[in-house]
Amino acid sequence: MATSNPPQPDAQPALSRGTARFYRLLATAAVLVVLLPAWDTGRQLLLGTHHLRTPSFLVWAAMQPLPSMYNFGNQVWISPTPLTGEQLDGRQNLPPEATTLWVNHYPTRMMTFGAQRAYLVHQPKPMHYYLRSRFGGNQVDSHYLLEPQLDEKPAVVVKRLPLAPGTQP
Amino acid sequence: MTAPPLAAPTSELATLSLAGGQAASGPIAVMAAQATAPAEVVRRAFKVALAFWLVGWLVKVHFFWPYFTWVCLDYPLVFDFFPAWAASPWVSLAAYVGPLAVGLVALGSDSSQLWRWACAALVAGSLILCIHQNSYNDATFITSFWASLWMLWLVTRGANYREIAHHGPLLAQAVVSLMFLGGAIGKLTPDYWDGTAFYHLYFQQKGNFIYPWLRSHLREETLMMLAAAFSRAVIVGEFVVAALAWFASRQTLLLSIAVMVIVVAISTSFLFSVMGCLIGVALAGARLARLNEAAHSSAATS
Repeated sequence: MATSNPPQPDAQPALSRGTARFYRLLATAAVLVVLLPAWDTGRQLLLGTHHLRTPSFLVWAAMQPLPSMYNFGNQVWISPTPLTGEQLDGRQNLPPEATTLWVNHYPTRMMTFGAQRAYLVHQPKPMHYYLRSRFGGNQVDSHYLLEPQLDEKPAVVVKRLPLAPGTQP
Repeated sequence: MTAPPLAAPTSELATLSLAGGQAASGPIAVMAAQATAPAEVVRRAFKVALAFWLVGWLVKVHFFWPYFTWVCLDYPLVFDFFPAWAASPWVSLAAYVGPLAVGLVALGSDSSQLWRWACAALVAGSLILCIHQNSYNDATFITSFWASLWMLWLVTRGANYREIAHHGPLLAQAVVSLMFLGGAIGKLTPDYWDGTAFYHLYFQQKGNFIYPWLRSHLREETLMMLAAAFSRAVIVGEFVVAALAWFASRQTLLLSIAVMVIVVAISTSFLFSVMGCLIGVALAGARLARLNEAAHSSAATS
């Protein structure tokens, strides 16, 4: 039978190493959540995580456990043909085959998550993804191209393209 | 790590008073005493947290099972941002199925050793899915990661009931508050404060609950005003739940649960996959708070 240590009222229990570590981990995460958006580089880093555009995968992975649900204003444009800056900014109409929508977080999910990749293989034609995320005065724009690869084993190749002049304010 | 098992200590059955401090005897008194015994309170708290965690993952199994076993396996993405292991469909499948299987076994077991292994698997599985190409965007795995860390903390405390009683509710509230803090800070931007983001995400794009009705009955400007008010209420509400970490108690945990239930109700039931594990941790934390209350009650009546 285990020896027990019944709770006593108003007794401050000693902080074990495991408990202290958990408090420190939570406090560190909270401090990062509050401080990172407070300066420009931090905001760019946070926006970059939602566009899969951090300096390295390790940096991105280290940021992932920080909660960021419904963060930033995120828009996505999906089109089989390249779009211009005027079209992204709403100054020109989008081509009829293009779609645009808002996304709660991680606009890249529109290309990496769900059955979209299966549709692309079966269409099959390349698709351009334009992503825009805003936070405070910062904005990150990205342009990805998804190309179906119809080999013996189908796949979808994701390429990040430089933004064409005029597609980023 | 060696921790004493969470066996029910008979000595405490005698030292903890019954609810209301009434003297009682017989089988009912024994059952009541067992229910308030620290080991039993901890066992039930853990089972509640684990059950909600598992339901959170199972509620979207109809999506994740075909996604992980068909889409990800048959239509892989070739994307050089992710290392091979973080893009492997087998890794994402194992990280999803493994914790579910071990967690379900642990739910039906009273082996504290199995609980510890299961919680370690829950932490590992949710962390892998947080950084995997096939699943990184789903907030389910971020909340699951922190909730499973709390469960791992709980089951590695052994019989240190004073520590569990004091820190369990505080840490549970801290986990819930941290998630809301992340949500609130990321909305401090004009797109959310003026309602534009929620106007599009909910009032224009959502096809469930009340949103199609609102679109067909309200004018554009009214919808925009409603979206701005809704958005600001969400931001303030998230900061309030985040601030509850400073006043952690059974009451703040119950208030957090009420907020999370409302969030699921006004969004979509799939959001339970994100909130379920947090609701479980909050319920478990509120149950652990009773350990302190039982001790206070015991001291007052002795």
